[in-house]
Amino acid sequence: MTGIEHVEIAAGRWQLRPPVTSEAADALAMLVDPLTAQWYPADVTDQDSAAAWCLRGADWSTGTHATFSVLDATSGRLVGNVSLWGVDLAALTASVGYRTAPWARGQGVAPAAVDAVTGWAFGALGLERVELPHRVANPASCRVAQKCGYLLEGVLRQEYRDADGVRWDCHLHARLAADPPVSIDPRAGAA
Amino acid sequence: MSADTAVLEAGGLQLRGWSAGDAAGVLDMSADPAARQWSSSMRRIASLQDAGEWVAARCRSETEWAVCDAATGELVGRIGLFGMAQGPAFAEIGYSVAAGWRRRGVARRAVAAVTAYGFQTLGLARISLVHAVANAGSCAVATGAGYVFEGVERSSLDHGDGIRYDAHRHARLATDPFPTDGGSRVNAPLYAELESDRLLLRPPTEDDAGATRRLLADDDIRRWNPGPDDTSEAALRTWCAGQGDWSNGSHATFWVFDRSAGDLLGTVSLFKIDHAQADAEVGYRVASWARGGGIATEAMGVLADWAFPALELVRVELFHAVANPASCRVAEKVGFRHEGTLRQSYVYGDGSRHDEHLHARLAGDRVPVGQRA
Repeated sequence: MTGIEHVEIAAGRWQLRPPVTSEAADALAMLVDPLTAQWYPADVTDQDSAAAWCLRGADWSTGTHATFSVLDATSGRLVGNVSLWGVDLAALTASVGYRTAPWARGQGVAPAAVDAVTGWAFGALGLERVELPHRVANPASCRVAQKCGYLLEGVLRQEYRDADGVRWDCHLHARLAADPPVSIDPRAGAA
Repeated sequence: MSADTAVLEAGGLQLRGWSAGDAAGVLDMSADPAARQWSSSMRRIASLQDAGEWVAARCRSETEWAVCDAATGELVGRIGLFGMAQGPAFAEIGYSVAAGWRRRGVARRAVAAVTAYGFQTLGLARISLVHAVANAGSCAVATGAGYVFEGVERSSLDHGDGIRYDAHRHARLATDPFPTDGGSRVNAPLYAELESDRLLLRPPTEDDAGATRRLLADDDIRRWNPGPDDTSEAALRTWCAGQGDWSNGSHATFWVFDRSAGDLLGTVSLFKIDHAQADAEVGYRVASWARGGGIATEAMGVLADWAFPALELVRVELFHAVANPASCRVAEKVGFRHEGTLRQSYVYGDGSRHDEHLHARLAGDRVPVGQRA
């Protein structure tokens, strides 16, 4: 299996690069935040498991994912995480997921990060289709999808089962390499 | 006359102590060349009297079991824990499966049940499993049951045939984590035969290779659901056997036959089975000579009706290319609702990236009636 080479992406106010363990404390604070954990249960409970989570994110050697920490380009502080996962370099498809640190919400981090990763996935990686699934009950995620030009393709009934056994309807959004470009308003969400 | 041997249940199997009435079944088992190859005690059986003595020796054991089909009582194998004299906390597990019952997960289920009994009831600390390196089937059973490979023992195994075999030693400790997928896989079906008015569905075997080649040699099937690239006799035999081997728990694949004439009519498969998410996908093929008769609808209906309860599924998905409207009709008739249209989502056998319909049926969905006789 061929790995994916590490890359850094500049996205205006934000900088994307593979996670590092020195940001484990901020990663822990982001992941145990109830709003993050509600939609992204990461099984991270302390500094050690957060560091392990960072290491997993930085290991792109399987070729199945490329996970980025999103940083404030000025301060260098962690503001979020975006992951291209389920990468299939034969079928040229993948999925994308994202989460924003509680101290950085409302500043358009997620749309900027998803847009940057999407551009890289279609450009340098050569993918043709990226899916963005999210639970219908999470409309904030739906707005990110819409801003980034991921069309809603279907509503999947009870598609996702969470750790408590509760099943959730999901939206399946997707963007194609050939889709018309979108413009992420840098002020989006700032109001 | 039997020792007080615990009765163990294991997914359609019953493990019970031996009794004198088992002699005829043991004589049958001992006639199988594979059983004779790997068991010196089986090789010594030449008559019903020999078999009776073999059984009598085991009636006294509390840790040797006859493995039976729970439904019919038919003897399908044997299993035991041995060597406890070396120390109360250690044992070695040994087993064999009757000809005709192999590749159905009998060994894996029996080993799982006896392993659990050994650790939980007998309080064993370590169970080892030793098999000839040449016996690859046992290696898969060992690994699947969480027995960690520890090493190759050179010329260590004497099966009584004058050859000393290199052996693999596997072992499992009471403290080992259960195989991560074992908990959900143990109860996954490893074999099933399903029937409807016109159809018989069963897992394929390598002997289905000839009919399978004719089925696959069709433009529609090559385009929408192709088989393997290599269509040589040998490759198709291997492929069919693999399609009929459900032991990794990820799929349940059936070949569909005319119940009366026995002809191959198509295939249906439940695949990408995800026990944690309780979901799976379905796919199918209809032979060119069987189209237009509602075969796919009937077979998919039988499969879905069986799969939801048998695998405790909540959601089953069906993807088809928008350019293949026949599949859309089958999906709707079998109760798979259209949930979305995925753009350029899959490269089909024609090499083109196609838009697809995603259909899904939930366990609680009302299913259209009348599509199945």
